[in-house]
Amino acid sequence: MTVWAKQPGRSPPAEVPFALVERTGRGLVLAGLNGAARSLGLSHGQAHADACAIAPALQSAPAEPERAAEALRKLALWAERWSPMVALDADRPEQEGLFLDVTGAAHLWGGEPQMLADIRRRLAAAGVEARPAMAGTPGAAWALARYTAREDPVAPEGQERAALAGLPVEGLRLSDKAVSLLHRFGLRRIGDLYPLPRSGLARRFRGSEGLEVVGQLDRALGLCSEALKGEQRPAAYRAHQVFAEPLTVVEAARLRAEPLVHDLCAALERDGRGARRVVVTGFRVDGRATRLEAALGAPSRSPKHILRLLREKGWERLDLGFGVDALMVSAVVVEPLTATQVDSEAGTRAADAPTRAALMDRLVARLGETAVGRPVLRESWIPERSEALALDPPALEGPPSGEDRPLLLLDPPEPIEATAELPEGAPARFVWRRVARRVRRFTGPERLSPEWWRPPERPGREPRTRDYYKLEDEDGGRYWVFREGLYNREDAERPPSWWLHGVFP
Amino acid sequence: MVPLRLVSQTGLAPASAGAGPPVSAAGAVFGLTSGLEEATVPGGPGAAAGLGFWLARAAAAGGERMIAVVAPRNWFAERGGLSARGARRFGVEPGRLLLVKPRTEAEVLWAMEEILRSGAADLALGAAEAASLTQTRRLDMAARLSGACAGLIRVGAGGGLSAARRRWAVRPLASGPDPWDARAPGRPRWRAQLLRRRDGPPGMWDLEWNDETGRLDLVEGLAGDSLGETARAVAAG
Repeated sequence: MTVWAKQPGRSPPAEVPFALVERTGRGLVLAGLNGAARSLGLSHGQAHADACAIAPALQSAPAEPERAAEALRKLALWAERWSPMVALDADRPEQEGLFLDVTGAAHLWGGEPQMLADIRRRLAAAGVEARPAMAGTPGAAWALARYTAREDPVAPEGQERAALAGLPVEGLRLSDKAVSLLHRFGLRRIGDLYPLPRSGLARRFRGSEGLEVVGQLDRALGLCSEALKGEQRPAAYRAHQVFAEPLTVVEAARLRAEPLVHDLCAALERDGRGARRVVVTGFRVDGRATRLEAALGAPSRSPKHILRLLREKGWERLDLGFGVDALMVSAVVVEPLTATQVDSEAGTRAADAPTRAALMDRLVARLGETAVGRPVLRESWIPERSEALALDPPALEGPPSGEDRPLLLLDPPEPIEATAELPEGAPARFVWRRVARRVRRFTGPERLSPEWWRPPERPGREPRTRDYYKLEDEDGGRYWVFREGLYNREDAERPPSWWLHGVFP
Repeated sequence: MVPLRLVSQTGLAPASAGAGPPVSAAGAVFGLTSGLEEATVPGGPGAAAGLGFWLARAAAAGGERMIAVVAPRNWFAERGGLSARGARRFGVEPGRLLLVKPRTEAEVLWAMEEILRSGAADLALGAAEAASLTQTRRLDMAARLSGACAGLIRVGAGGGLSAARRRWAVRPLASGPDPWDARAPGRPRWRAQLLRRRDGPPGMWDLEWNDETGRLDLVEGLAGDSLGETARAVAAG
């Protein structure tokens, strides 16, 4: 299956030769062709000028590889309706496709041929022309999909050898060089390779092609295993339902998803697990998947809680388009969750934890992960680096430090105009936000030198020593100001400057 | 010179006629109530004073549940982010704090209500200038259901109708001298004026946070402290 970067209304009819062209170092070359163009003898990588000479009627459009890759990725997400394990196969131009690991899934569609027919039918309905095939190994399925004339070919388990024998050697996913070498030896069919001694076959070619041929043959025949790298980590728990008629209303999708959430939670309950991340996927009729995702701060399998999170995320985020004909609820991240035990010593705290986690989940679901947090103290004496927010910070230990820090810390510090009696002394008056303030009491300085082991935040601008003062003005406002830079030592580049960093209560 | 610090009714006359609540009632005034309270604070350093006033009250009240501070992102950007080290000075451990920074005021009110309803917090502080009567009623209801305190901080002039059980006006006050350094600012002081109250008469108090005892003390006029005199004059006038 080749994915074209389709532009709506601009895809030409099938009988007109059409090609996508790409600008390369040697001018315009063909990067994708339709059936009519291929039947005229045009091929991938051919110069556009040559192709025009062969087929003057050739229509062309600029190729958009990024959009093609994106379209394939979206299709992979959509293909999760058949299997949790979907891998992209985009390495070979013109021969892009998807691998689905459907082990143990075919019976849900009434058998392997029925499943292939379903895949082909639904892809065709979504406007994607595809040739699905099924075999015991990815390699064999790849070859069957591309080099058999039969519709929906299935190679039964263990019969890959017979199924592949009549197919051309190109079906082994070989490099062009290896293919042309095999052709030079008169080896045109995969079956031609079977009787050859393997050690001789590997040695026959110079370079790595020999090993490549043997390796790919072994992979196709299942003699050595091939790992598929899924587009997503397959979800361990999923609940899935297909509908006869596409759902076009969000409310309907929500009502249909609720029982699925209950099913999912029942499965989690059975295995003593809780979900940390739940995804609702709607499979649209036009070959796209739409997702609604909710993260949980602590593992949970309470349908009520999960449904509430999804509601706060907003079901309207599911973009149903022209309708979805299947819904899936999956627990993407799962953690063990056993019955909780209340610690008798810290009883109240332990009992608090679930309410706290549930509250955090709801806040994060509605407001986003960056909007919610609990403070964590960091090991740094630079005030703006010494604290951070975390969703689930570890419990703090140790006695409180005695340092006097403002309650509100401005980030970044604001420049002020300060007048000091002595260059090295505390300011006597300063102007912050255009209001002049006279200093009544002060304490300081507290000298914080830069953390020299860190690279400067702005290259070329070395951080300087800061002298912090706590000031109180005549109205009772208490401020934390600092002078950046020391006189006579750090004022070569620019003079020391005054900043307001925080406000004390 | 060690300032005199008394846990007693201030010598200041309340803003309204008549004497303020008696000594024993002072604790009840500053303890956290279950329900909605509101405080207007001046701009500039006022926001920090309002937050400090509430954190100090929450710390003095004890309690184990969380203390949530909810304010729009631009509120924190303009007035400064809440610092856990700073909150520690007011007896609030970082582990108890929950910071929520939504985008809009509507989300602030939603988050406050969520926090109060969950029952996981002792105090939910929020910054919302334009909360309607209905919204404040909802907050009050949510707070009373979970036995928590909801605090709304408004910068500048106080808003219109509100279901708050107490309305405060809090502003920072010049501190007394530090016992060890005469030039340095001492413990933080605020003037808290109770403008309206459902369960008693209004009043005005000068408060000082004592981070050693973890208590809010009432400030008696301090010997030799000229500012005490000024404050008295202002209050009497």
